[in-house]
Amino acid sequence: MRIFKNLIFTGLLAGVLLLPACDNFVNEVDDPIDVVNSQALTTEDQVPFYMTGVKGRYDIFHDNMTVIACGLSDACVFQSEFVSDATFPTFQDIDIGEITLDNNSVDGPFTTIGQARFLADDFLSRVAEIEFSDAALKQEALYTGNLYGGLARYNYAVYFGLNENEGGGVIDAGPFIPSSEMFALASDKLQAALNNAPTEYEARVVNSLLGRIQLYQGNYDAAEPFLEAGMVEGDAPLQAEYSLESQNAWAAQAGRSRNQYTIDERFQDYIDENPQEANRIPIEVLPESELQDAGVAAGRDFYRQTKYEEPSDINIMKWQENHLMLAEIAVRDGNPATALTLINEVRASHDIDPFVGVVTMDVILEERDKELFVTGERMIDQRRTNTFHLPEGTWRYFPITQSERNQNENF
Amino acid sequence: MLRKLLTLTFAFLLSAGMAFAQSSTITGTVVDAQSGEPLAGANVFIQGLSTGAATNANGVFEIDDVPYGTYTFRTTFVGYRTVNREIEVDAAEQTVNFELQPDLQNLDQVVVSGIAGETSRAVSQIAVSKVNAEELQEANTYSSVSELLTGKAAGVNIQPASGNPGGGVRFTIRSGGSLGGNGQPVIYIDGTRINNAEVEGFGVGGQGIGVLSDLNPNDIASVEILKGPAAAALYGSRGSNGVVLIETKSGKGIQGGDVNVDFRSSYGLNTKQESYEQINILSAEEADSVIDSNPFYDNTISVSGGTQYVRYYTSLNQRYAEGLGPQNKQDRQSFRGNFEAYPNDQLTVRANTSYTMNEIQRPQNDNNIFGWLGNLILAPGGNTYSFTPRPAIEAIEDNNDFKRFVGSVSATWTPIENLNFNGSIGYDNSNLRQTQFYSPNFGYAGIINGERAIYNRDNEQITYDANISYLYTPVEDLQITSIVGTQIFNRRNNTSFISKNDFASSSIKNVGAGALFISGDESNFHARDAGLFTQHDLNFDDTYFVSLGGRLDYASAIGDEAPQIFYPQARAAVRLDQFDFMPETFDLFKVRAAYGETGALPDLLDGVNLLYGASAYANGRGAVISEVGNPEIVPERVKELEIGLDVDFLNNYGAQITYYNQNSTDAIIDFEQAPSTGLTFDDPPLNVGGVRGQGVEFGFNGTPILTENTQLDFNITASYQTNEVEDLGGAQPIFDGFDVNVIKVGLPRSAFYVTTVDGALRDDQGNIVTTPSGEAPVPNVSDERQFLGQPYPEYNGSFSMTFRFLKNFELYQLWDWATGLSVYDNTEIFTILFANNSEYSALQEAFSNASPGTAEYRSAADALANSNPNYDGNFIEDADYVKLRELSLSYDFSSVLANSGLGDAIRNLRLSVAGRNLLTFTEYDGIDPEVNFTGSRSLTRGADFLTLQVPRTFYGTINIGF
Repeated sequence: MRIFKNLIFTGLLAGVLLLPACDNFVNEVDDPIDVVNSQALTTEDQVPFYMTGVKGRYDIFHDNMTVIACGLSDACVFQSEFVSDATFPTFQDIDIGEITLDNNSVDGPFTTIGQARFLADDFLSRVAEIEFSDAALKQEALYTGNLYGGLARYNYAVYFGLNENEGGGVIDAGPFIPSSEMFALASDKLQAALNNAPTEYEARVVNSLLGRIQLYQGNYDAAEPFLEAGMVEGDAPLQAEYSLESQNAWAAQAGRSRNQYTIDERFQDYIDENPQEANRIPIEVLPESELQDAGVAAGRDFYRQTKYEEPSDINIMKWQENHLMLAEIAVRDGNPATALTLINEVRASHDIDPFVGVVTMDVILEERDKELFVTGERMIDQRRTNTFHLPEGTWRYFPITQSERNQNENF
Repeated sequence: MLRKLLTLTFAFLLSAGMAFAQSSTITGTVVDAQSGEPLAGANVFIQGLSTGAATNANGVFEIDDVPYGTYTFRTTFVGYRTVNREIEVDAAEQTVNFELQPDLQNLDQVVVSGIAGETSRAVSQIAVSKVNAEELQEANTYSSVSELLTGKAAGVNIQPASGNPGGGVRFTIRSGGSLGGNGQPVIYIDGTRINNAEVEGFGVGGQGIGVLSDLNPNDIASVEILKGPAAAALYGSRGSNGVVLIETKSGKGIQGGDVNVDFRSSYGLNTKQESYEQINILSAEEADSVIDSNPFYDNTISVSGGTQYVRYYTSLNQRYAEGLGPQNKQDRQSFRGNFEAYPNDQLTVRANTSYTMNEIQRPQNDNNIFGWLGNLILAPGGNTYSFTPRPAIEAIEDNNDFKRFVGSVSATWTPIENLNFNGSIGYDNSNLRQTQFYSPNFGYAGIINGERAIYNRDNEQITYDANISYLYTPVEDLQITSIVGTQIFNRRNNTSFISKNDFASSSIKNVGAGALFISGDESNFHARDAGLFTQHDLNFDDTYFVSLGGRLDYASAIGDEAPQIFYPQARAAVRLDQFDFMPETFDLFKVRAAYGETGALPDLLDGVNLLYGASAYANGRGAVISEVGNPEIVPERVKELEIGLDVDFLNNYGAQITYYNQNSTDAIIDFEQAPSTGLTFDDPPLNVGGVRGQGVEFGFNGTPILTENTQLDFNITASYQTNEVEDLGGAQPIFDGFDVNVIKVGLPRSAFYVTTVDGALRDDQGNIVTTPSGEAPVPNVSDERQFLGQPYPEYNGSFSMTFRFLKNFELYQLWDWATGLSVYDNTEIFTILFANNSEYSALQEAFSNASPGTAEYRSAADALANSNPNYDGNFIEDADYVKLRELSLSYDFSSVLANSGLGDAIRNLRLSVAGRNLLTFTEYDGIDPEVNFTGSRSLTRGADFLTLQVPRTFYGTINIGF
């Protein structure tokens, strides 16, 4: 029994001594090399790194969004019966506007827009905490955070919706925010970006974005002053940027790498009417090797966009769009001559002969169709001008996804 | 203390010295009580003297220098009942013979009672599941441990994710244990906790490689499964989903030091279980011709043996297997060396080591436009290869080169009788180099002029064990074994990868020859666990057994205090057969109860709110959230109570029944956030869950026929298990990526939960509503989602039978069955979407040919709506099955050889023919109800989507021993 007592005592003693040792031992491990904690980024020297991340994340959203936006509009067509690479049922559902809430081609952009919105807002809250020594950096940071926070909210307003006809989005698992309110939130952010624009150029870009928000809501009078102060001929476009590491989804989903959405035949008609249009509508005939036998038998041509090949960027806003928005307001104001000048300046920038005739809303819409080819604007134009090609009851927005509805108690 | 030890040692030496005065040499034989055949390798041990000997090939033993006196002789041999006999030694040369009864019910088989203890089934307070791998592999060849275990233990369900050799496998033990984590048991080989990950690297559509496939099943002697916290509490955290303990073979200690050389060779064919005709596709013939049979072989040579001082087992195995269809191969070579030495009475040292080179080539399949099955089955109008031409698929290379060392060294020091110091270190190092190549000669979507991708993974884990056990008798008839110990685990995992595009030549494949950088990254992971445990087993009069114990566990946590948790354990059993009132019919009648807790500690990074990494964007490297954690996280706790009854009767029959109840609280679940929060970079862990499970396990085995020439053994297992998610802390249900499986309060985990279709929609007048084009009926869809089943069985079990006849023939069969499980047949959905489903086309035709308003029209509309591919609910099918899993017929030439005089040269010879997955009876319409297209670890479960079926195999085996 004595030995037993001794053993128990030794065991307990060892146990007591080991308790703190275990605690230390298990935490003496190598730190991960690929992550840092949140506080480490709330310093001035990390601001450029975070700022790059804010823009980068938005760009990851923008390409996927514009692909499906083209799919829902009448510009892109899903033709699985003819085109070999057209295989995603989710793309097909988008093409015909019968979009289920769990469509995972919508899930992707809906998820990344939330991330982009969060990062932009999170970045601004850090900027507010940091005491800057470099005032220019602070200004750039405030501009960037507000610009992308504004763009994120704008995209909720124009692309997503609660149901087929009711646009809007959600922020931070809150209640549904209708488009009109979301536009206002976007404008607030963009106004803050405007107040911090590093140069005149950035100010013009933001004015164009602010003007577009008003135009898309039908507030033409409110849009005009912004657009007047917007981008001018020669301004470089504001772009979402892509590289081989961060690829433009157009190439892989609706381009030469893989073609799921083909381009509507009318774009070829535009070129047939005026071959100069090819300068702003880069398309090509799909090679026979990418067609199903049935497609070849039908003796038809199918087209794909060649605007986006790897790596290529997407315009978020450019001076030509600002011109066309001004032209639209001019037409609505009964001033087709001004509109004509604006349109022809845009055409001239692509070496296309001037338009001859009276500029009507139809002309404006056709010019926008050509000029804003595969940029995701067409479905918005169709919706706001009541020219949607799909029957009533189909989606005019992309649904706020099932994953949001599953996790958000407001739905 | 030291003085006491010295005194004891001195006394021991003194008594040994005194023995020289009058001592005896004891010789004798140990034979099988039924057949009278000598038993080679049996141990005869004299209790109180700590001396003994093993029998030679003729069953003869000799023990020298036994002092005169009365001793208890303990005679043991694997597979036989232990005999304890008191003998008076009083002559210079004395003969003592022993007859051992076969232990048909494995009553004396050694089983694990806790992390450092062992016991026998006769006294165990928990349900014992031990698989005798050595015996099973006499006639059957298994490609992997998971195949070996399938259908062998009640309450253990093993699902392969695909038919790829070396593919991932998912264990579901009992009602599933913890809600968080991947639900997999922790696996030990000879005391080494081994890695059981599924590694995907650069993907091939969904299937990864289960690193368990590195293990050569031929080396396994036995596998024991501790099925829940009641049994596994002392294994601590990570043991909440059960513990699988694998023991590899050791040499037999035979006096005279015989060397056994055994050669075993199997050759066979992997064939399809089902033809693709089964799924009504126009391209079935072509699919069948491509997904075709392929050969395999498996050769092992082993050398084993032992003397009084050392035992050894060494082996070399090579397995080459081609799975179904092209580009589906495994080539595995493994070596093993197991040594045990007994340098003196007080010390035992052991080394178990193995090295494996496992080369695996995976086919492209599953959710993949380069996949074989995708191109063969998603064939519009039967036109195959519509995504990717066949030569382009053939030109894709996927090579996975695993190198793995698993080894342990251990020592047991017994300075005085009944006091053991045990120490061991186990090491598992697995290294993978994966390369993929897409030829520049073909166009692949998303790839520019070919691609080279390299993935490297180095996983290293070390298990340290140290414990002290002491057996003492404080009062008469009460024996106590006390154990205190510690277990430490250290794991490092480093991965790196790179991929480039744009190659000029299909022959020059080095990554430097690619012009375009696509991706490259690395990660490191380092974590430790440490546990302190104690266990005290009380045995009163071999009738009452009580065990109490507990474990305190710690684990690494970055940026936070190390989480710790205490797990208690308490068990008791009573052997009623020891009482006089029980009839002699019962060899064992034991009621038992056990309670234990285990859990899951948060992962390394779980306690930190947000961690940021860098992402490569076109505009530069920018910050991105990499981990979303939860500073409030606490360990998950799983509690289990099991009660059971073990009955052995008429010496030939045994039955076990066990009821258990598992309750998990504070389950750690990586909880998907609403996308609008933006925190979707990573799902943060939340203590949101509670899940309760319960079940009943039943086993019945027996040997109704036992004569010299005939023996019939059977084994029946059956289990029922159910679980229900009870609490998600008010959170919303968690869906898998395909929005089909859910974790939701009130449903079993991973339940299928979708909207359903009930025929075609009717308008107010009762007319069928059609789509605007009139081509299809509008389905009548349920407003709410409905529970449509679960992807794992509610009831399952097996029946096996071994029939030895005409003395040397042996017929073995294993049937296993499962009910109450469902499969999501996404393959069928896509055959419809791709206009390659003849059944659906017929429905469409019937609908378009019928006149609106007629009964035919309505019935065709209902049928078409119920096959509408836009509704997952139409494709969740019952997948109950019965399978003839294993069948073998063998002939043992050993006695023929012995009679022929060749017995001296050839110890044994056995020939067998066998098959696996020979028959399946199932309601499932698809090809194979046992697969999952996203591998074996995802939340998506039971989903068949262009996944390769598990093969049916036929093979022959020769075993020859010299």
